[in-house]
Amino acid sequence: MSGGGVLRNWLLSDGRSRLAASFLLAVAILAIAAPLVARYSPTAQNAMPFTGISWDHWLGTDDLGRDVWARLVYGARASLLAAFIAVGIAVGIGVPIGLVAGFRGGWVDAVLMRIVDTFLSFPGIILAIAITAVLGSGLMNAMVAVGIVFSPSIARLMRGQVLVTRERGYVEAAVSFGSPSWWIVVRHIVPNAIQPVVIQATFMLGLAVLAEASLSFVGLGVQYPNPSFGVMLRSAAQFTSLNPGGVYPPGLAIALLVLAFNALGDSLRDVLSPATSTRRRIGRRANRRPAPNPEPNGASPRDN
Amino acid sequence: MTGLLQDGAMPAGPLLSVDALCVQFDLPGAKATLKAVDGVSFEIGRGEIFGLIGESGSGKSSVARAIMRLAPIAAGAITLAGTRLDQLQGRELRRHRRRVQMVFQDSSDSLDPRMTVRQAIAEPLRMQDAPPADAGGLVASLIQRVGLDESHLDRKPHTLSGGQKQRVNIARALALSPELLVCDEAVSALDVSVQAGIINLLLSLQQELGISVLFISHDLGVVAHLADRVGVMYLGRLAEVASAEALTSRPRHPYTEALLAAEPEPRPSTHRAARPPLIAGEVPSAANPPSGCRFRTRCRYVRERCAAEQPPLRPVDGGGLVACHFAEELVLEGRRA
Repeated sequence: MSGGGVLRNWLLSDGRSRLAASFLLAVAILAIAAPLVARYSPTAQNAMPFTGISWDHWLGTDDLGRDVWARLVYGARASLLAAFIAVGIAVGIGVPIGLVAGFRGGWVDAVLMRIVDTFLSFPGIILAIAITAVLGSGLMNAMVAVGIVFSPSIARLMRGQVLVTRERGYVEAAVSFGSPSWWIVVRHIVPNAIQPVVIQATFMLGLAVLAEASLSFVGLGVQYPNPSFGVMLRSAAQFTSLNPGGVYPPGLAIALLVLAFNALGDSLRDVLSPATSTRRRIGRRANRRPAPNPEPNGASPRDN
Repeated sequence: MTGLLQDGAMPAGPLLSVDALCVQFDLPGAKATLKAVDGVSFEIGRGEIFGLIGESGSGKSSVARAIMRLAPIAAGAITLAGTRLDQLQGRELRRHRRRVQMVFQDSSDSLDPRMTVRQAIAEPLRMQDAPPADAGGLVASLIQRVGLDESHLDRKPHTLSGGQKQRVNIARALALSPELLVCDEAVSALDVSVQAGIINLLLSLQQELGISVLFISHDLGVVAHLADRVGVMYLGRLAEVASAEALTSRPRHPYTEALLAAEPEPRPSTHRAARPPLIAGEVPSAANPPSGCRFRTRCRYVRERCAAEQPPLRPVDGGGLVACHFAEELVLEGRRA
């Protein structure tokens, strides 16, 4: 069972994940190919404000006469990049902390978890604003802040998983034939504990898109004149009376992106959680699979 | 393949000697300790199969885990051919672990679901300071030796049956050519028919390799069939040690008698009259064991002296060891023919 095979089976077997994955892929391609798919610069004024939808400006222009479609695809760049950076930082901080706390236990665990609890006790977006205030505004700093805010829940999840995995028989067996701790952690504990973290990180990508939009909306994220969904939403919101439709492109982009990440996380959870068995991947949607058969190929003749 | 088949120049004395072993666990919350094993001593000879039986909570698994250095040893000594296993630490401990290997009870849980059978069996080999040159060939010969074939090597554990998984576990335990194989309830979780296959496999492997085996089970029938000598544990202590034959035909401890009486009849309908069970009630808590003889609360021969004085494990005529004050007086009934 190769990793690629698993991914292929899963994408083909489930309509929802297929839809979400193709949408995300399309957004990613648009974002990467932004200079090719946008005919205008996202920051240049090239028409009157609020021209409305036209052949020249597919989604109209904003309050400064900039092309909304161009800003949207360039904004997708910022939003996607921001999401991956934030989640990367959250996983990069949270997984090692959870791993060390869960594996070492004792006072190491107690100290690390109290620090994590401290971070968890702040409302997320307030903490992110506070961290951004210290680091200074800007997309990168905002995403570091969001990553720090997200890391405690990853740390807690990882720790819980490690605590469970550590007690498994194969870990004890590995100890019994003299495996060093690093090997047990790398070969047994991390691979068997990481799955829920991967699922959680997928959900977090959606949350990070939202967090980026929120921080940019209040002016702490992407700075003028560069576009992101949050920046676009803010300027559109200021002119709703003049251009009521202006909030829809960035607003819908945010909503669809978050939905897609959530759908992906959901179906990842369905596919990965119950077992690592290939049999379960078939016909997930129908949910009519037979009860798992403990002896799919029959006992060996010598067992009988 | 060192350590195996060197019957020419074998030093005298037992392979493993466990002396006054105590295993304690701190009870969370209460400031108390639970003595899972309280002063257990026995020896396993070279090439011998030693059985250890007892109810759940009797401490038999803790003995195994202490020998494996997986459970904390509070007191006592464990000596494997002159090496004090209980005193090893760090690198030294890791180096000596290969000499004692274990087959665990839960055949599924002891295999990493993400590793193929080949990776699982090769793992102990990779962990050694000097991995064998032909590790691949060794893995292939191991899988055949336990009655599977090379087509199983690239499968994941979830595609194997319970019996097949236990065979993989046995192959993995044998990969390091251990001097002692510890089987902790290795067949208890398997179907009876599969059990027989695994037991026969263990017997033939033991004869082929000449290794010593510590076989732990709660099933007296299985242990008596497999083992040369048997130790009976009750509440963290040994009640009786005797040859399998003597233990079943002429038990010397009331607890052993009760265990034998509780064995299911092979053909219940043909038997004249059902024997009443000789034992009632539950095992007392190991956190608060009875004074004196630990079995006295459930013993039908109990006398005053049993509460006052702890019976030592002492030799009796016939070659066995018994921890009962009245072993000479009592006339106990063994397994009926």
